[in-house]
Amino acid sequence: MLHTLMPILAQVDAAPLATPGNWTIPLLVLIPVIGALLTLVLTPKDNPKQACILALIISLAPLAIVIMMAAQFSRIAVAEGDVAVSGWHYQFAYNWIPAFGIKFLMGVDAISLWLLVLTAVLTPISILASYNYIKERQPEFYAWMLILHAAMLGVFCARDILVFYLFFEFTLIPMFFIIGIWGGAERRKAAGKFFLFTFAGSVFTLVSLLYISYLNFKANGVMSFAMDDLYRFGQTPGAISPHVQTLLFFGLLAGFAVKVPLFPVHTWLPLAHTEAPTAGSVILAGVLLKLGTYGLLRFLVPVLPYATQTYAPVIATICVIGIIYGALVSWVQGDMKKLIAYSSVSHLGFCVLGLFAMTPEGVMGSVLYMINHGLSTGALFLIVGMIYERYHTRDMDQLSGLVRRTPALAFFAVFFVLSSIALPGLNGFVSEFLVLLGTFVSGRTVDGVRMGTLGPAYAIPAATGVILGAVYLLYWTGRVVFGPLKEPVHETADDDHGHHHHVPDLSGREWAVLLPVAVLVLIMGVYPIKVMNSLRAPIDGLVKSVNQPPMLDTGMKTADASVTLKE
Amino acid sequence: MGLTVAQILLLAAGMPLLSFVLLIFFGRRMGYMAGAVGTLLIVVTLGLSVTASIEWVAKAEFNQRHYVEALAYPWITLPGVGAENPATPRVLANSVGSALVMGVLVDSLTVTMFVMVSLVASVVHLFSMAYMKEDPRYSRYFAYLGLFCFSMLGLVLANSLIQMFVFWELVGICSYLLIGFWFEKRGPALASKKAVLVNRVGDVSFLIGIGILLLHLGPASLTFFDGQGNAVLSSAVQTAVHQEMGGAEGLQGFARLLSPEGANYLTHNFGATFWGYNWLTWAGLCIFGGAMAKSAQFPLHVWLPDAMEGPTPVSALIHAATMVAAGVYLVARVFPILTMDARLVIAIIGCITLLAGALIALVQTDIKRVLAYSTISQLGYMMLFLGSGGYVAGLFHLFTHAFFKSCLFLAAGSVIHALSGEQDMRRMGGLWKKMPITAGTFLLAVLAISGTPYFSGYYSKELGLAGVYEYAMALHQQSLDRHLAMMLFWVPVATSYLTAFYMWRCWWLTFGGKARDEELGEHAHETSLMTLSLIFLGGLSVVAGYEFFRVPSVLGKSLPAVMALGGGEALTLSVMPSEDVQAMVSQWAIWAFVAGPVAAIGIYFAGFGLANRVRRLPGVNLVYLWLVEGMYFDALYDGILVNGTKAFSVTLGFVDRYVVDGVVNMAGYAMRGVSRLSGLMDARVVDGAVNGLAEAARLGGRGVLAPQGGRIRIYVLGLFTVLAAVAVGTVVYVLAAR
Repeated sequence: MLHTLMPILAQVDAAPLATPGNWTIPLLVLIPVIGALLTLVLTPKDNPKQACILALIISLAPLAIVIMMAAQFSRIAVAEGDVAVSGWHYQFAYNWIPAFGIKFLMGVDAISLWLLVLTAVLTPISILASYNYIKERQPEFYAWMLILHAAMLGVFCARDILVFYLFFEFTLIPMFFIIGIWGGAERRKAAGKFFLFTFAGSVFTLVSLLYISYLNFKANGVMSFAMDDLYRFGQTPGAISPHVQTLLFFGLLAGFAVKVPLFPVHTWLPLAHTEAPTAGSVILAGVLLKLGTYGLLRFLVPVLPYATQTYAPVIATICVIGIIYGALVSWVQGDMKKLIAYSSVSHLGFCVLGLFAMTPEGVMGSVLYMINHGLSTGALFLIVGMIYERYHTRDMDQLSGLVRRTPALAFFAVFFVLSSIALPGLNGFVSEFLVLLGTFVSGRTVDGVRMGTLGPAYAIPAATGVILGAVYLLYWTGRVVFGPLKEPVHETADDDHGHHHHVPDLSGREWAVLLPVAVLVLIMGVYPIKVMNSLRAPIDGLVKSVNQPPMLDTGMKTADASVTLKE
Repeated sequence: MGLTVAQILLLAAGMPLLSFVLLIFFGRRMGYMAGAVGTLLIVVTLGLSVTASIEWVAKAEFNQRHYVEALAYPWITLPGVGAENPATPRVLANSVGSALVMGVLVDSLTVTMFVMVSLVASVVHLFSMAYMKEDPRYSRYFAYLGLFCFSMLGLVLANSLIQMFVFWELVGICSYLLIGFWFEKRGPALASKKAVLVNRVGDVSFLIGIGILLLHLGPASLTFFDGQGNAVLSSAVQTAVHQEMGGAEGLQGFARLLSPEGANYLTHNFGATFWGYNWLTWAGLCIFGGAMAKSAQFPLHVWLPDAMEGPTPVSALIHAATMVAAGVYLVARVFPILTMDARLVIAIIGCITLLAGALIALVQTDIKRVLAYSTISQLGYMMLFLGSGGYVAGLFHLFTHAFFKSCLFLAAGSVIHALSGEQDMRRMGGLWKKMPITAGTFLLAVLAISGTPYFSGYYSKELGLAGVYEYAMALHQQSLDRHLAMMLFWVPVATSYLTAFYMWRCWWLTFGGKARDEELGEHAHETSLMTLSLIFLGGLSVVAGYEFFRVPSVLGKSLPAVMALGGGEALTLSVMPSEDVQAMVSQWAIWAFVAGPVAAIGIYFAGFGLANRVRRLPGVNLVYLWLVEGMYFDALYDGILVNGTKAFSVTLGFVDRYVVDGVVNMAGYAMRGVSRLSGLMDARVVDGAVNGLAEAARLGGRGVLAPQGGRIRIYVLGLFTVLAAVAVGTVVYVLAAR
């Protein structure tokens, strides 16, 4: 086995690391970190609200960089056509700990690029949304937000699993403090639970990652944590025995499944969402959950293709249960934030289902789902935050008929609900449709290769989620946005004695928060083709590598892999 | 102008979209001009549609049957699955390849639908200008109408199932916005939600149908026609069937697939079966499932009566002429791929629907609900006609029905407007003196719907019933039980008597006899804009079926001829009954137009007195109650389905909170116990990184989180210890296993 693999790996190792390469990505990650320090230092003590403005300006810098990258990237993608299968661009490499082969490898392909865009868009928006919401210790809050920003950007750029893991785990710390300090009444419990859940899961992931690179080391004699090396190793037939693949599969899954969150390990999510401040919820739903699906897509599937094929039905079953379960539980929540939190459980079930369908449509739908869910659900959390700022309650029993009082807010609420229930013309439809069709056609044999292992048996029950999605979101809309006007009675009548507060419609700042998201939702609904075209190459590559036919018995020790895994 | 027909139609469809965009942004500033703008734009659409149809019919004479213009608008890519299937015709391969190309489909059916939709929509816009005058959200109303018209016209233009699905959903959402237009009230808010949810059930079914076709044919085959006007979907199906059955056998098989004689043969010989149906039948049935929801077929009809909570002109447009027509249109579009089994199911569902709708309509006292159930019943007729192979008859009936039903709804709207919102016929009566034009046009439409000779409904219904007769006879000559097969024919015939009865009853109770509530009708009057609309539609409900417009023959040209493989004769897909059969059938059904009014006026001559006495008779009272409650469908769905699901969800909510979370918490506590122990023992062993983390946590927390921070450290220490142990154990185990 060693001999067969040696030539390939020799080449990899020979890749020179003398020049670190492109500095765009390190810059991207460093700007928010420096910005965080600046926010702490520069905010005037007498006017702490300025921290928000400062942080906003700083967070626009990564956005500008990412937009520039996206513009350049589409040119590269057009120039290279479909060749850029594992097309890493803006590569940066630095021999971090040479003794253990740990390199600081960074780079982006189309998948990570669009998730970077999502992150870079949502962060300034959620910073701006916090302007009035955060009333104490503002500089620290915004500093943590920027640190979180840096960590999230780092995750999507990482090409070395240790670098990935570093950033992946590092997102926990700022989020822990954002929930724990600026959260609601039960913030401590929520923060602790959030931390422990994700941490406990990801430790298994770490162990599995280390074990994979250990196996790689044992096989090839070279210590490497670079993703490309491990892909190549994992995709070599027989490199990892099915027995070990199974263990590694569930080990890796543990961390990512908690993060996604998949069905039985989702219980940290509603609590974290309810207690987190608006910005925390937006980032949590918009980006942090995607770290889980991104991890599945980046590691689990390409490194363990055979285990993925074997256990896809198991994961798909969990996803289908999650889709239906999340939707039903969401329906009976009285707290608006919980309702949307459980809807994420349902939606991300779709996202993971599409990934494990392992058809081009399914994976494409899944990647788009990550972006679209970030936009729609993030926006719904923004809306709920705005309602909360006005009425200081999220109880659906106390609120009704908001369209009378705040028509513009109601318009956006209905708009994002429609996007979330996958109305064609808005973003949600494209991804949900592709995921369902992709799952439906999964399991067909194309040119002698079986594409995926799912099929109608998974797609049809998942499709009921389409009905249920409409049930709970329209229930929410009907209760809160429409219907007769009902507002909570304020015990604390401020200046206006005994009168209702004047409840204002959207302010200019709130328009600035919601409008960009709405525009993106619309663009992703009617003109997603640009994004889809750039995604095709990496997705095709991924699908091909997962669905490669099991090679013939090469007489290796672990040849039983090809026997067990031949569907 | 140099525009192709497709471009004209595209322009026509764009007008209402323009109206939507204008009105949603500037509507409030326009004030009452908003209605005029909306109406003007839809009238332009009407003009363009008529132009296009005249041009097209002239072309169709020269045997150009289908014309497709691809839109240079790649919306989503369907990464190339299925393109490798040899069954997929490669005609579109270059354009479809990977992207789902939007196309504009023009054929006789499209132009007919365009004329129908834009005609009714124009009249409804005109009527609404008067009807909605006092509404505070006047401009918003017209904006929604515009969006709806755009979606409906887009649906008609769609050249593939996926494109159609897009507009299908849009139509559904517009209906949500329009039914719930008066959302402050509880009723409309609930009704609009119900409409969307029931329609979503259909959408999922439609989606599954698309999935089945995609699985077996590939994405390129989901288009209806290619650039040369050749049928894509139906020939792909044909080829696939041909392949699966092999050679000449397949050729025979496909013919039999679509003809009454071979239904049984096929279920046993072709394709993988699931509950005895092959995939093609399932695809057809699933797509029909979508149509069932949109076209309010039993048992998914429940949303339509509730949708009457919307403004009455909306009911005329959406729930009489257009949105409910979408389902029938869909079935017509996939007609060439419906197997005999699927058609039989469609026919049976249609038959049940038409009877159930008519029975319930017999006892309703709300004028709009009578019309709603009558719509359900008429849609049942259309489905039955289509299911029994009467492609032309089903669509013809759709066409004539659009006019007389929207006339009925608008006349009802005129009455409701005059009576300031009263919809209960028990308080009406004698209105013909106050509102002669409304009464007259309503009467014309009643005559049309009850199949009176020389009125439009007569022509379409007789044609359809004759087709059903032939179909039932063919079924009966097969193995099916004679009486059961003939039920498909006798039920609609009997129902046509019921139709005449309840429609005449409705007219008489509203306009005839004496006023039962003098006060209510005192100030009733008609407005000129409304009467103008009514006269127009009333006239159309008389003449729409006339030979002069050649609607049936034009519609007939839109059915793709399926050529037999290897060049044989074209296969007949639809039934066109002979004159003899038509004459014979009309003997049985025609007398409804006499019997209906006689019975209705006889019973209700002096109001409800006699009818009330009849309905209190033992036995009858139970039936009455059953019917008046809409056969308890709502109770069944709300009580069992919705509440059951809700109860289940509540249970799940508890399970989630206490069981799932509880188990995890337990694990957490257990872990904490272990970690306390091991934390005490191993605190010094664990490396400094963890301490650093905890330290950072404490610093960042700045005391706020002091107790928590301390605990976190213990957790982390413990976790690392335990997990490290697990990891080491695993590695050792795995190595040992090797």
